Amino acid sequence: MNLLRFALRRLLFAVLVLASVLTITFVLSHLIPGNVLQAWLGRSAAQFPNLAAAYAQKYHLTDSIPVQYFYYLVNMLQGNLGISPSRGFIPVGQVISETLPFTLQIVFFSFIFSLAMGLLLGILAARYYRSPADNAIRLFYLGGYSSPPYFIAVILLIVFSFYLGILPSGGAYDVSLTTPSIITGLPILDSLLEGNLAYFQSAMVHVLLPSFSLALASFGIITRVARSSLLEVMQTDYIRAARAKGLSEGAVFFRHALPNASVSLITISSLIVTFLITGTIFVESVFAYPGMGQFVVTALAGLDYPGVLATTLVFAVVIVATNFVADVLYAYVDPQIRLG
Amino acid sequence: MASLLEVSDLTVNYNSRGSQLKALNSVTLSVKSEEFLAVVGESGCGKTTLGLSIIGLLPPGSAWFSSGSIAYKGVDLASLRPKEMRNYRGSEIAMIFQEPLTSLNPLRTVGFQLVEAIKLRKSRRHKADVEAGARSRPLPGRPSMPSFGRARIPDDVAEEVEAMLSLVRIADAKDVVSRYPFELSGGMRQRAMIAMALAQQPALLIADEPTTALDVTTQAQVLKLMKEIKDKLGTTIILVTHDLAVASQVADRVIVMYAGRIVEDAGVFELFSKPLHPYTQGLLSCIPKGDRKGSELSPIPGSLPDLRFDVNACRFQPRCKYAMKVCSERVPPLFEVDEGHKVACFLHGE
Amino acid sequence: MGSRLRQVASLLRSNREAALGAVIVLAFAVTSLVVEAGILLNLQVVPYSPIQQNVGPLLASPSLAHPFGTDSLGRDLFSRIIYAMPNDVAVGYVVVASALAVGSVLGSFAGIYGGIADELLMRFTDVFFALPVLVLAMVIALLLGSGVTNMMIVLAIVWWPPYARLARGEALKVAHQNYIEAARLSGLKARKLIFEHVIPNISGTLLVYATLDIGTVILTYSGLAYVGLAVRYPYPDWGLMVSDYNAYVLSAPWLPLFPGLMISLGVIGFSLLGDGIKETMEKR
Repeated sequence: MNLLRFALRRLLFAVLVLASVLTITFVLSHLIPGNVLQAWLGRSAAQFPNLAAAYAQKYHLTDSIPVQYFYYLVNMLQGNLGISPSRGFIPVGQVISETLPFTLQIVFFSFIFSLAMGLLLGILAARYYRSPADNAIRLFYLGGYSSPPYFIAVILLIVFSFYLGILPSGGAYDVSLTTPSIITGLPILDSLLEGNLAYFQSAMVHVLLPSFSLALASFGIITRVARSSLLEVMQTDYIRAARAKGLSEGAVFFRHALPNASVSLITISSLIVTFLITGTIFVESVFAYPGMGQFVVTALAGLDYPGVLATTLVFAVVIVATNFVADVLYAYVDPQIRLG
Repeated sequence: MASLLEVSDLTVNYNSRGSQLKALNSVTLSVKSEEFLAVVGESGCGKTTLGLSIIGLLPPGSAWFSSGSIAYKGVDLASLRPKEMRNYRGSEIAMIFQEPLTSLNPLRTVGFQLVEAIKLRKSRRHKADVEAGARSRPLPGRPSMPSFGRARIPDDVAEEVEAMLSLVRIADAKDVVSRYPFELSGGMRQRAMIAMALAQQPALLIADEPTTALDVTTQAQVLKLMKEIKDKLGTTIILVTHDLAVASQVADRVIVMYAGRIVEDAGVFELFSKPLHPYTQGLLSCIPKGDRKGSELSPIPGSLPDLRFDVNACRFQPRCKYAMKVCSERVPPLFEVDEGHKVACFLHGE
Repeated sequence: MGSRLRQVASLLRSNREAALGAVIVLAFAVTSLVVEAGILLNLQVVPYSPIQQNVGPLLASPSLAHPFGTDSLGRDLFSRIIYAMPNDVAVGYVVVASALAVGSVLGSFAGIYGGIADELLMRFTDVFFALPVLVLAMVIALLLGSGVTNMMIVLAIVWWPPYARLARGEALKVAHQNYIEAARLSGLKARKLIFEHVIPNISGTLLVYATLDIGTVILTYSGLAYVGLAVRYPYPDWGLMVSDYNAYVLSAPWLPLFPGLMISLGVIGFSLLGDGIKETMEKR
């Protein structure tokens, strides 16, 4: 089957890209000033020589470069990402497994908001092409995607938290509540599965502002693409032919125009996810949301090289995976690729 | 035979890049039931606009009726509201287009698009029955909502799908319905388009250059198919083409258009044996003929007029070798020279 | 080039949005030049020193004396914002210019000559596309150290791949036009061919992309500044100001709002201008 072959080819490509990224992070970790151990342990390296020696052995830091590279790959694949000086020398892998779920929650909800808002406004703008509504929508999304996510976050914080007082100003959940046990690893989903509704409600309320900030900063791209591809599709011969059949405008739109215009949104969606996951670096710090984005900021400030390199890798994995899904989805939707 | 369609004094204005032009200029014609009419002219003469006007698919906003009427079975289509006009599209008047590849939705199977038309007919018939107070029949299933992938043909229409496809001489119906447009040849696509157009059993089929994008052999097959359909189903056909040779093969009557106006209207034999308008004569001499060896093709000198400027004169006069003084003073009306043979030229009237 | 300027002039006359964009872009550029000139000549062009404390009351709300208010150390916010303008503007222009230079040369070479060079370039840019530029820039910034100049270098390193892709695509389009083929067959040196024939022909598309892109560079730079990689204390920078003043969002909300607004305004300016130019290009 062609789709399968296509998917396998893209998968191979994704693996190659990730291998290159791994190599790059390895090279970068050797370009950092001083030796690796110093970067990891800072002054503690001199204070606790035994500890340093133990780490050096565990991560093969004193071997030759090719050997180090081999163990680097092995360690990465096993989730041993080094230790984080900015988080009290706990393993980076642990920091990431604690923070990534929160970040993924923001990415998920902001993606939903962004897509819903972007698509809706795109449809409206195309429907009322060149009317005041079209112009108003354009102004709205122009403001959105021209603003840094943290600026939007600050505005929302002032309006909804301080001025209106309807949404919490920070954190991921009410800390007085019992946290759900780990089922999928995503707290919001786990609390729902467990029936811990108090936590679920609190977590949802806390995720709204950060996700909405990112959605406001990103929906413009979707609106723009949805609008232009709808306008383009509505001009095609097959829409005219569908009208000639006597289909109602609603049927023409929902059965032919919208599905065909949506195809171009698949590629855009993977761009949006990239934008959203990097955007968490900013909005999490504004809302003190305990995700990976905030870890990146503290790691950068604390010259936490293993932390920064490991998060880079995680970003790359998420993005490569998203691109892979988008590619396959695109191929699935377009019969020319699926069957050709 | 009664006339099915009466277009009278129809003028259509186009807005193109800030300037207005008359794509159709007081066009009057009538089409009899079960007639095969060909409308012939160069590109830009208004023949496609005529087709789109009848089916009510002029590009909204940039084209509009400025005068005249289109009476179909006694109802003026030009004055209908969009929603009312929709009831005529597909079920009464159908249209097929020049480029079958782009006229089919590339992401839907041929089956999906054909079933869509068949179901539309069923739901319309159901509605009509209910309105007429007839015993309520079960409502036919709604066309399935968007689903990508090979469409399965619902059982209740499978027979009809096969019948429609065999009508347009597609033998391997089961295979073709699950195909995407890009998987079919140009001829197959145009056959599928015709099947979709006929699915609701329209009385009038408008075919806008249906064979232009096809190779010569396929062209002949599709033309033959259209003729067959007319004979078998009694469908009235208006064939819009730039090619007099194509028209001569299938049409009963030919209307020649030039610069938004009708210049000649005659039975097909009459027109070819006795072309009266200098423009028609010019067009005929452009057709290469195997039997007239040695005779040269003589293209008509000059080019199409600029329609942005409305003139009170014969539009063809600047290119006409017989031009007289009167030709630049007035627009020639259609003179009925013989019975059923009209021509807009001062050589043949007044 | 003259005809291009004339096109832009007629665009600005006919398209009000593009004209507004041009006004913003121009205002930012002129202000930045004045500020830079002031620094070079040791003249103070802003009302107050951007780093001097207690020029007014602490956390004063906007007034005539301090149009944007003062911060917690009594520094004048308006002066700090104007003083910081050249950072964002310069980074925007420099990074896009370097990406334009590197990308158009590499891309048109790959597009015209194809082969292994082309394949390598494409695979290399593939890897770049898998990493968000911001994250990549952060990693490199960590190695190079912070500072505005270093951020320019960092962004220049990561910014060229889309330009190379675009230039390659455009070069492929012109590669088979007669004059290019003729020039190639006549044995014209690669350097001459690319600089004298290919790049002039693809520059229009690239320049439009670049105009729209300056805003994106400013946004990304402001992100690097926000996490503290661009400017050292006590000097001001818009992104860093939003980050620092976050703490005063309740007591003095104008503090994070004004610098953030300036970033948005600058980016909107380039978007409006770029969109206008793009529309005119597409119409032709």
